[in-house]
Amino acid sequence: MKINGVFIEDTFAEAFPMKATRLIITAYNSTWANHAANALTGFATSVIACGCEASIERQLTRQETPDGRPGVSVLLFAMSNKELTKQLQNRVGQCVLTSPTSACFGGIETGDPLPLGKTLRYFGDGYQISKKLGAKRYWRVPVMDGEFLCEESTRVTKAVGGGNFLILAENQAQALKASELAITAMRKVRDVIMPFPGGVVRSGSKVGSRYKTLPASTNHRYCPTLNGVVDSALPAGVGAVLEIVIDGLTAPAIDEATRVGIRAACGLGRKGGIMAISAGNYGGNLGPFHFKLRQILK
Amino acid sequence: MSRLTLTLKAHPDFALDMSAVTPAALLDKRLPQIRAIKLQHGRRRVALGDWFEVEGDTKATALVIEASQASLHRVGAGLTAGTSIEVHGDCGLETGLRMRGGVLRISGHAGDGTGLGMRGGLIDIAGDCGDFAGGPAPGDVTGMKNGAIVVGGHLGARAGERMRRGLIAAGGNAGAYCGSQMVAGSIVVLGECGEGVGSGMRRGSIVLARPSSVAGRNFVLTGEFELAFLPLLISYLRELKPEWAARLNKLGRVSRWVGDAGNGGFGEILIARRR
Repeated sequence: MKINGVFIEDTFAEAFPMKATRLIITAYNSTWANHAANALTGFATSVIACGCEASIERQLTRQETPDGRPGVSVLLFAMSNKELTKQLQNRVGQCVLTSPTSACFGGIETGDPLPLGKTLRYFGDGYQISKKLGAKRYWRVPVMDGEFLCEESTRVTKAVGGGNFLILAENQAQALKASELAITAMRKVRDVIMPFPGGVVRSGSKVGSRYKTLPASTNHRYCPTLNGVVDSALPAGVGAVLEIVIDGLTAPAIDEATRVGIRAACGLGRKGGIMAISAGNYGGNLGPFHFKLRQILK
Repeated sequence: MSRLTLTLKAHPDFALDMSAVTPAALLDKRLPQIRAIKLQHGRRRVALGDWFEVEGDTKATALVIEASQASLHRVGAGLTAGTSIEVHGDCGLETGLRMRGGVLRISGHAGDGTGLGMRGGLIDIAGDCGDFAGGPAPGDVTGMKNGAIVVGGHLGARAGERMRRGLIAAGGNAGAYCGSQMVAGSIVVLGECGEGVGSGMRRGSIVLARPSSVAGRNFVLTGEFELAFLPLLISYLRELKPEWAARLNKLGRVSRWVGDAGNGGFGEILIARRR
């Protein structure tokens, strides 16, 4: 299978079940909502060492937020409810509560509740105020610029983490250009995030290492500088590989993101230096979700 | 939607207790059984069929009371989630007493003690509401603990007395001692408010939409603010009473008065500033 001259390998991305939630962060203006969201999603590229994977899902207009202010939608993924709870408490407490004019709301309506304002309210030292409107409870915590408003809880949902595809290009600049085109297209898809810097990862990993203390190490079969030295998975002529990792609230959302991402990357075509599209997997024995590239792109 | 309709046949001279008449209590009873339900009428026990024409679907969770009058007391008492009562006309005392859920809509006025000891649901009154709305039920220490009472007209005196949670909102004026001894919850008054507002309150919020409103001497002005929770409250009220939208939209910046300092309270009276 080829798209615009770019070979699509007959392979699949292997993904895993995760737990996820969505937060809606609002502020006086979009700039400050983004400051809070960027801080919240900082150091959240991989559960391997960050505890969670998080990123901004999209910008929200005043009409889309509970308090009628500009906002940002953020998705957080973790391996368990317990870890997600811990990450929420730390990240919202240190990054959103602290950000001027911010407010924080749950963005998922169904599922088990995870504490949000329920624990953060204690920062109010007894001066916090509870407000129950309909079925939802909010906490008003007095802070130096007024009040931090936070919904009592958010909801957790089953999700999928680790969808991915690899862009194999002749050189770094071409791989980067194709990745940027893919990410721009994928950011229009709802319910997914690409948690790595700029949505792109250059250090794809394999499970384990020759060093006992490391749970993961470089995916040497996709490193072009090792081509010919190891059992490389790269065709001759590949000079750079970039990976796009996708976490989604549902498998169909990852399907869609993969589809639009690969099609956008292939827009550069073989003439633009893009040689092939592949995907990372562990032989299909570890993750229950398999995203077959050729099936998705049909 | 299927419904069961009770039409009042004559004007009761004195109290007719309707607390036995809720959709949950009538569900799956046959029409003769419903007509035989005993109601307290003064000192006597009377059959429901003596006073009401009964027709409609006996499996309905929606009950309609036609030609209702103020002598019908305790309409919607103990109403539960998933059921509703629509009243065409007025209601008497203790409407929605200890209501737990569901929706009670009244096209006319409601008497004193509406929503006493309420635990959930919505009481929507198109007309006026008497004194003690949302207060403690007989024998209780605290008033309503959840739910909403929305009044299109005026609220009587001592609305929300000792209320613990929930919302009371009035499109018209509120009588004296609104929110007195309030423990928590919210009261919104779009019209004028009588004297002694928030007297003895410990926590909770009273929002007064008229900039001319004044807080009592035991309240301390903390400043003027645009509070982030107000848009949420406004949006919630707009869902309950869409016709209030234009008036609610004027609520923006408020002066915040905290008290009642007389008893160490941290309640708040929020008075709208002129736009």
